[in-house]
Amino acid sequence: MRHGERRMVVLFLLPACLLYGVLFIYPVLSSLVFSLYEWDGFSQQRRYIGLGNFTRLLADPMFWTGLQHNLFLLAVPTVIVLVAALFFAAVLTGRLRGARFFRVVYFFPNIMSMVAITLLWFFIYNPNFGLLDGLLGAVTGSKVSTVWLDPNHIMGSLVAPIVWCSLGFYLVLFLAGMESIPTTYYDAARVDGANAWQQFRSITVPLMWDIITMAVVFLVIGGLRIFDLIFVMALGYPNEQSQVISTYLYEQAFNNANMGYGLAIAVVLFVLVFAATAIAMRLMRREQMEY
Amino acid sequence: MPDHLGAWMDARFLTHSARKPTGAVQHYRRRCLLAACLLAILLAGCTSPETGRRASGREIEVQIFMGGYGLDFFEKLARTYEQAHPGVKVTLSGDPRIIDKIRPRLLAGNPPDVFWAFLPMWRLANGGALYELSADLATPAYGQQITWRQSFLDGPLSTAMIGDKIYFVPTDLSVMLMWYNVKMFRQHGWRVPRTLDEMLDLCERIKAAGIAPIAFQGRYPDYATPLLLSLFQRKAGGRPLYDVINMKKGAWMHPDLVWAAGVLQEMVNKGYFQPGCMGMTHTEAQMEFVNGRAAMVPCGTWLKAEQAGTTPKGFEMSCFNYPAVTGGKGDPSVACISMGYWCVPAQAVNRKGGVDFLKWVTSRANANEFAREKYTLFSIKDADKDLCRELAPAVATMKQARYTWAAMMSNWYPELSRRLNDSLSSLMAGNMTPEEFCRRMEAQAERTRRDRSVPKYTLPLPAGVEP
Repeated sequence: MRHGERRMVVLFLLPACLLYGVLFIYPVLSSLVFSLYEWDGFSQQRRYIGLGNFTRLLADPMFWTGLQHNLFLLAVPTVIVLVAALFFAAVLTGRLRGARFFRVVYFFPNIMSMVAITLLWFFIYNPNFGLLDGLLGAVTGSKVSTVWLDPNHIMGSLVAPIVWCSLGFYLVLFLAGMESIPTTYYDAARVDGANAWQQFRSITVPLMWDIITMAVVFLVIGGLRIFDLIFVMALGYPNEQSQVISTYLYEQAFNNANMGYGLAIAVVLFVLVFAATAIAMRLMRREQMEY
Repeated sequence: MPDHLGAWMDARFLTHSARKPTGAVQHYRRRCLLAACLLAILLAGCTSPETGRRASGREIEVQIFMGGYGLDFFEKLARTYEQAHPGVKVTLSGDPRIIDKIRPRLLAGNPPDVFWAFLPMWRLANGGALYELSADLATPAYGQQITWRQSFLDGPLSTAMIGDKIYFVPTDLSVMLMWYNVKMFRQHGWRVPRTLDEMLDLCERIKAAGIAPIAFQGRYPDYATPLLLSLFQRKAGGRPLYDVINMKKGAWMHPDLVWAAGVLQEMVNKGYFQPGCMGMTHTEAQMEFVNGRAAMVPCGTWLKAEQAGTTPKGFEMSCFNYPAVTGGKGDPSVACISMGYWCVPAQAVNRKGGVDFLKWVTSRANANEFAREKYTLFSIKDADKDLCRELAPAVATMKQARYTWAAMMSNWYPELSRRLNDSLSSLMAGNMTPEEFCRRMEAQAERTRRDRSVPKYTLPLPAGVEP
């Protein structure tokens, strides 16, 4: 690279690096620093307490409750979304009539904001005029007024909107992967007498393993970082039955004026997301197949 | 021109071949400097006159929460203040998310001169962010021959005391009561219950008539806190109640509090609370009430204002204080209240103006006008003339009350308050026994007591509190 070219490269990279540094690196490092302080987030007075916020976090039952809820929302929707998206992708790659229409239908929730989706489900779950209770009432022939968002049902009720709004994205992802697999592999398998399930298991899944790994990583990150769905569904006040780490972070930092403690939770969440992503990638590492 | 600036200009505008400034270059330099000076003047002009006006006391900046009360009344107050104080300009702004506007300004040391926002006032005061008002409270109130401090109702003002100091003052006042459907009661011949037994009997009769006795804002279980703690006070007396508020050791394990939690759970179990209410928001539950599907709803005196747009024409609502407990030690006239608080930041540019505008807002005439226009009460003495008839029982409750109390947990100890909400939710959903409820609350209170990072507060015992 000539001297002038290098200067141009640096010049073009500089704005992006500056933006990244100012909007990401600096806030992350600041969070790390402020997590070592006892600070209300309003006044300029703050007290250095070292790892005090982190030791407090380890003894905080609400943090562990939130983590449990995160793990539930990470595991259950991930399994359902992966299975359903693979199934529908396999169905839609076949010669199904109206396949293009269904692709659009499944992808539709992805163009809506999460807040709008949450409000939609909020009304679906309404015990007085909600679609779900109405449907169940029509099926059972008696009035159903289950309170889906009460403490006993809320965690289960959160799974449906997550699956509903995630399915379309992963479906499109898997569809793209499946359509890039040469049909000759399937032709050869059919000649050898492989049925549809055997073709799926022995050709589709191995050749799409990288895409499935990526989907799992996205779902794991999403499960740990989930905020808006719960925050809106709980109307800004999640209780111990619906609290997750990110909503607890918000509550401590902004409602309870414990900004230092809230930032300590943010740091731990960052580490958790990083670790979970690394573990997921490590567990799903396989020999790469080229075709 | 500083040397380094001249050197930079030379380096910038002179060619490599000719380092000596030519006439054209010198002209260009002059134009650049002139432009820079103009820009500096313009930029300085963007900020300084306003700050200057505020510093000289000619402008007061007010920021308030824009919720159910709107901005119109406060705009009117600002204009009347300007008329009464020629040469002073009041800049008032409001926002439903006013917290997000005030927070960075407090951090930057450039807060408005006076504000009303749902911020953790006690934390702000402890952090030195609020101006101490005690000296100003000793000055005369607007339009009265008493001090500003004397113009406040004792109960509400006592909630704003941190030790013997006051950093914020209570303004709008709500009494927590049980609201009922007047027409429905009249049609069925039901009467307002005076004792808990009468209340339970009434609920049974309402249920038998095919109507839900009580609508409830189950998504916000703290709407049940006044009922729970009022029952406790009626049964045990005032001192045990204040022990709970002031987080005394063992206060949550008082047998009468276990009893009160049991009554609340029994009312749910017997179907006195509307089915499905634990999933309802405050507006949903209150809609059930105004639409006649529930006979009563526990709520503050803001109910009429909050439901003004959705109440069917001809709907009549009234309210009553929580009933007495037969054989209880507590005075049934005692009332539970909650307030909004206004304050002046310590770093406000025009602190004096901020305090004076706050005095103006809380003058008896303006407080009365606010109460009349916004269907609410105010923390100022005798500011309850010509209020709407729905609030007459609330005014009577305040006048008859031996004393008033406020559940300060949400202001003082947010984590204890959250645990109370969670536990109330579990108690009412039947997932927890009354004993477990009290044990959990006592455990959380103990954690809060031991947490050295949480400042501790005390609500002074009112005069005449029952033993």
